[in-house]
Amino acid sequence: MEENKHCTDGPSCRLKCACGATPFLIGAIVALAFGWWIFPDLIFSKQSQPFYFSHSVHADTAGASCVDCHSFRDDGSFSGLPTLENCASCHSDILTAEPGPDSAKAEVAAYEAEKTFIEEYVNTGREVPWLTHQYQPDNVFFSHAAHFQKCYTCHLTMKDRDGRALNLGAPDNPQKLCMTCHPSLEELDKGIPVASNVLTDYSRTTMKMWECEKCHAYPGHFYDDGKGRTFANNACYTCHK
Amino acid sequence: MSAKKEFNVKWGMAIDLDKCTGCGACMVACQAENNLAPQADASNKLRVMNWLVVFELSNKKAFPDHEVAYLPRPCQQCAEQPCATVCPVIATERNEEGGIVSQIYPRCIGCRYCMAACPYHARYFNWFDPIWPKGMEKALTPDVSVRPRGVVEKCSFCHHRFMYAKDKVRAEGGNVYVTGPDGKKHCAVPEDGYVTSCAEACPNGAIVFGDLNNPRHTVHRLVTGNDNAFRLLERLGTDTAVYYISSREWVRRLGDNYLDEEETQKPKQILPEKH
Amino acid sequence: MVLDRRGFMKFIAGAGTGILATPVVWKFTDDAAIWTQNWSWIPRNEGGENTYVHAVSKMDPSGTPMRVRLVNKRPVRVLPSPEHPLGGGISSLAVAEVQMMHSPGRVKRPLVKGPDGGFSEIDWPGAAELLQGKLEEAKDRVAFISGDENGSTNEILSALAKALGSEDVFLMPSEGQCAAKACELMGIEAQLGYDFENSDYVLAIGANLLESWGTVVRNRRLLKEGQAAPFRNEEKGVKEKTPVITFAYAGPVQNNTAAVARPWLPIYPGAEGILALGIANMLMARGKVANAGDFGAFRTLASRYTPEETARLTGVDPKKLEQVVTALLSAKAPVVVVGSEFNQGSGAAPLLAGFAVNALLDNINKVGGVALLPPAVVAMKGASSRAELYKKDLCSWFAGKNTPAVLVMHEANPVYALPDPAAVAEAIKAVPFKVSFSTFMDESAALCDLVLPIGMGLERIDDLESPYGCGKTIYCISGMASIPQENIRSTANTLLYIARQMGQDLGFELFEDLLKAKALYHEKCSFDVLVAGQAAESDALVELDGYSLRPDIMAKALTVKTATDTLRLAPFAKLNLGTAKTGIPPYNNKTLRAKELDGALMTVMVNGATASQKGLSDGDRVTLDNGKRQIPAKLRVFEGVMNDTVAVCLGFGHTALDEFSQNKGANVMELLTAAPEPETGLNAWSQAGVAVSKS
Repeated sequence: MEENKHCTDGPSCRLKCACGATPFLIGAIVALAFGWWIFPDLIFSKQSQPFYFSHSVHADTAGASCVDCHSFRDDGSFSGLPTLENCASCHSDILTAEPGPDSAKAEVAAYEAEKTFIEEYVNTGREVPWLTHQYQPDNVFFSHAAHFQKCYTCHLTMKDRDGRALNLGAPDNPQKLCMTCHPSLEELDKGIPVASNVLTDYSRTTMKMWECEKCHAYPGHFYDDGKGRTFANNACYTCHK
Repeated sequence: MSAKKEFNVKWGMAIDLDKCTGCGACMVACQAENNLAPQADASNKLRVMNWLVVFELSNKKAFPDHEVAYLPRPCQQCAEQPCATVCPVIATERNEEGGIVSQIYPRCIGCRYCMAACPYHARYFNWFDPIWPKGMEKALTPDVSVRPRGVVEKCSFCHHRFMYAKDKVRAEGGNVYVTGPDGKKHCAVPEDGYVTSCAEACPNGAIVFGDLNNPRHTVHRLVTGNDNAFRLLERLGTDTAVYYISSREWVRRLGDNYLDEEETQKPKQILPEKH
Repeated sequence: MVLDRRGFMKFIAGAGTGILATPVVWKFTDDAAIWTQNWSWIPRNEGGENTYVHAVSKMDPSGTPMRVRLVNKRPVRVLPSPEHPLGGGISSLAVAEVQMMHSPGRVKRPLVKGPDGGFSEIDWPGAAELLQGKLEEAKDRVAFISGDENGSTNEILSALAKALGSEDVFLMPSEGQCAAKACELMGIEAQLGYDFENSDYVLAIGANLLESWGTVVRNRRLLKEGQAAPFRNEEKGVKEKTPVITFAYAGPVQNNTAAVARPWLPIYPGAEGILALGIANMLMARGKVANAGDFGAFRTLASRYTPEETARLTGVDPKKLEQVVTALLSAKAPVVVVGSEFNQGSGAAPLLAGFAVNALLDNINKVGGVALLPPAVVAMKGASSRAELYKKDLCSWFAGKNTPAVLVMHEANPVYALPDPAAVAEAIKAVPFKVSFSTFMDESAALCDLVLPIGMGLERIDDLESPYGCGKTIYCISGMASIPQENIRSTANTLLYIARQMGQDLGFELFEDLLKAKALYHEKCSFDVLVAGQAAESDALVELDGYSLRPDIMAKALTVKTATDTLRLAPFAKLNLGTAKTGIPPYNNKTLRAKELDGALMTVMVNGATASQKGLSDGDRVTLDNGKRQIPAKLRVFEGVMNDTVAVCLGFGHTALDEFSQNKGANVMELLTAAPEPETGLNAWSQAGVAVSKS
């Protein structure tokens, strides 16, 4: 009854007493904004690497190939990040030329990074505590070897994490396949922060089962095609340990 | 209950009870390999986790006719699993080539139906958080995730070793499954390329591990047509992948609940034709 | 705009509706679930590159060779090393060694005992200075006890002792010592070895061959390689395959060895020597002779042990014994091993009898028989050889009430491992200054004034030469598999340093230099190759000419005490319970069956007939009483025990070390008393009587 009385007081009253759906809508909009824009940032901590690292400097300038640092070991396991020993085989001393007053920003950054690396890690023998952008939890057994060997044989185009098409081209150009899960080299060179979930400690890009199942639960992958190509079974033990 | 799945490769064991001295090396090797936490007081066996247990068997005769035998019991990896069929969350299944029954810890809700269902008591519940004495966690392997309190776990035939073995084949550029000379699919992993931790540790060679379906594997030769081979509780029809061998009739008799007047069954009556 | 209550409610409702259309709730629920599966106190997997290094166990008395798996240079597993001549699988003790490295019972830093009896920290230089001062003061009143009979550290101990003017360097009692004494008495300058690799029939009398005696892992490898899996298929007419090697076992307990032996001959504890003489008599009755100087006297002695007399004294079943003797005679390469179920205390006489049986089987220095190995080399000037160390009997020394001014123990735990530990503890307490070089805070270390932490085998460089039982000369060096986990130094280097400070030149600066010098004795393998895990092997044997069987000693020393109101005590060893120096390794605790340990109460076993004769039944709480000391236990009726015998497992009853070893049963050594063995200079404690009564 009271409500009716309020609302008969005319348009000015309507503004004052916040009638109708307006508060509801405002609430909904605030919640949506929070949920879609603020919350995703809130639950991921942003950390930066111990020092700046550029893939392009190593690949283009120094002419290193991917397998110099990321390779399969003899036992079939994937080395992942290189060890200090691996890095120090080139960087026993500072290789970058000391920047002058008119050097470009990037050159200064590269010099500073290498200096930090030599002084803090090579000279002390401490492993670099690199942060990982993409890793799977303990209960997942991810076989790099299986994905490297199999996916290629049929799929020359795949999508990266943001849905952009990756033209894998010839199988001797494998780094694009890495980007179906890992950030691209360009992103890494920009120094994007490493995001990990504040509650679970998982990396932002840790794949959930439904993502794995995009391929693993695809019926065409279940059975051996006779040529040893498809055998991405969806059994639990295919991926879990 | 789903139909029984048959696989080209069936990992299995032949455990020679005439060679087992019951020393316990396999049990320790299993714990170390699969990151089971030690317990200072392990005398309450209802609260102790052991994926593999060595049981003592007796022929129940009085001295001096007494005989003793030891029986190591891993998960029997049944083809017809009493456990998987009762799991309400599909945390355990047998769906992968090789026929190993999986157990997925993050999926398990700890209801323990599977433990009640398992006729071999091969499943264990984490009553306690897995805590190691300070510093001992440095000796954990990276191969098996550490299970929290409240989930069920069991022997996995060291499945991670199978994963590594497959990766090795792949890294060498080979296919994991190849057609053998018998025209059937076999795993390209060499016979000694995938061995469970217990089989590897046993100084007596009592535990032999391999593909039951591969005629070239020792385990296949040991169980095929061997009247001394038997499986535990065969008449339940669980079709297990663990065979035991003993030349002693009383040991074989203990493999099932035989009546006094009953004869022990020979495995050929139960074995599927595939073997 | 004024927000009234109603408007606020609408706002909340809108926010509630809106939030459901965002990932917040779902993501939060999912994350919360994951969060509950990854508690911070649950350890995570830490990956890395796998590498493998070879090592030899210094904890396991059998010297098990190991392949250690390292992940990122961090040891995680001990795996078997099957290519090694002592290798095969892995023993239940060695397999837990990586985990033992992090055991809570470890000594983490040098400790010195204060006037209040409590330990306080001391740094290494301070500890060395303290020990040096005490040694200088004590001069020749110094004694050393070593618990590692196969390593070269003993050379440093004995050379230092000699430099100080002391002769008192002792090894902990072992099977090896009994065998060495037997050789000495027979006039053979060699180490007894057994060429099981080429035997087809092995009779173990007492020796727990497949669990704790000698080169266990290698012994058991023969079961793997030699014994074909039993195969029977009646319809196809395939007969059971004959095993390539047969094990037979005679002993009072149906132990691990007896479980697979065909047959098991139950005998009274301590009756091993008599049984061997009985077998010798039966062999001689079938025309077997030995080429020894005093064979005539031996024949006279052995002829007293007719099958009937042997059966009466040892309790053996004459029919089964007959079968075994027939099998011995029909085997191509039979060998007989006499030892003790618990690897100690048998004295030398049973080994003399065992050697006589082997001599009758004509297998000395023959393929598949007894091998007479050349004595271990000595590289350090002034050091005693192993044979010389074996000659000194630790129990006699303790019984003689010798109180040195300084007692140095290296990896030895006499307070736990010797018979009558309480008396040993009193004797050690009386020593003004005692030092223990120990990995773990064991019973002996706890009594010491200075406790110096040494590494596990995996954390130090050490060597192993021909452990007792092996069939040829084997030398291996174990490199450091792991970086040290605690503030440790090696006994050898510490003593070498102290010797230098005292102005004594022992010829080597570092232990490694001594090992390098030792490696030179083994032509085929360089030091580096040895450290990499290869073993130097040599088939050289000591020729047998002119020896005596010593029936004179056997006649005096081989007796069987007949029990009247007491039961005969049969201690037996199981490797999964660790050794006196390790205690029960944390990972081995679960291997104890419910029938072996009930809470803090251990189980002792008697057979049904004996139980009912004594009015006992399964599950009774009982007290074992030797007249001097009592231990509590739970009775288990187990039919695999000899009549009138109570079987007690070794390895329980630790009062020191950690929670994995403590509060578990009682130490059976409490019930044993060392008594001098006639004529041999050793002590024996393999025959004891205990009263078992309900408590």
